[in-house]
Amino acid sequence: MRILIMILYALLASATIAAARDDRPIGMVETVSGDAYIQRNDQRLAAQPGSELFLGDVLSTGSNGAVGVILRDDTVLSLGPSSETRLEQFAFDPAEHKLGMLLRVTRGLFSYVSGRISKLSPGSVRIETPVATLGIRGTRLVARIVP
Amino acid sequence: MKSAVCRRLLLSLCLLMLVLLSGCTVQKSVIVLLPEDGKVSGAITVENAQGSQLLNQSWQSLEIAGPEGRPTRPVVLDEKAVRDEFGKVMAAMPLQPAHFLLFYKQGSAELIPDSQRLLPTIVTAIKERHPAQLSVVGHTDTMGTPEFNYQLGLLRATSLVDLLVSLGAAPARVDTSSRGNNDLLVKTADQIPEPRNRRAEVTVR
Repeated sequence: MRILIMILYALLASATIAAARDDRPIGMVETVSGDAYIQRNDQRLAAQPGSELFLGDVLSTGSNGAVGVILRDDTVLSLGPSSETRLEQFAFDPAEHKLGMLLRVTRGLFSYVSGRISKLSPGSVRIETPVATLGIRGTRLVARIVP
Repeated sequence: MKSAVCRRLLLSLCLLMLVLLSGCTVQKSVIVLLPEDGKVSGAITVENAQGSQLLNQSWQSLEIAGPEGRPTRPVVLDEKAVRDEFGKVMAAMPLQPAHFLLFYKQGSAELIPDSQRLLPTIVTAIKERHPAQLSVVGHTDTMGTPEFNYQLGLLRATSLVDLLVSLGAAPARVDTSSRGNNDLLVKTADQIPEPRNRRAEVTVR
């Protein structure tokens, strides 16, 4: 019985460690001009250079805004005015072969340069928009998405 | 009287047409593949329920008119036209991350002279970025035990950060880690002193 409890404790502890690892920031805001925001759960924060980004964050800009970010795998991304993008999936753990990214661009202007996820695992990066899905193979692009 | 009504009707009709027309031009989504250092940077597949297209040439572009629109056949755009339309979003792009590889003397956290000479370049890369994120991963060769090598890798990473700070770098965020001898650049057997494996990987974002 005691052994069972110990095993349970060990499992709980490892689950906590795994969860803690997933809570790490996935990137940082580097450039901001005009109004730019980070929507996190129910909170809307003003994006500033140095703001950390987490999985599930939604970046958005006002009609005069722009924001540029770098993610942990070296992906570089920027949004122009009246734009919105959600950092929906991000897995960058080369040692564990966990690699993948999904950006959901709901509207506006964006610019994108692939990082290491795309280089290490071509085809595992997608950009979803209301008008089409973009499959990315190690590339740079700009786009305007009108839903 | 009748002609006035007619004229007004014609005017509203014209306005309606104008709104519809401008609506049409605004409604289209555009995707453009950009070059990287003057070369093709890769490829993008663009797909929806109506069809699929491939962009694989620099400045190649296609349009989609709403969720029900079919991705148009790609055309190569003029670079200036793209820069005019996407200038603001391109200007908001942060500098590309910079990468450096530094090498160490055997069993030590002391850099070899060639790598020492790289330090000012790294400091400049950090100063160019506001805020700068500095990430250093320390590595070792297969001499000694894995535990010792983990600690040596960590010492290489942390002492390098100290060195860069002493040279005037002030990164906003620092991330150091060690891979010990678990991630060899040159695969060797155990207990082999391989200079290329005694290294630190530096990323400045």
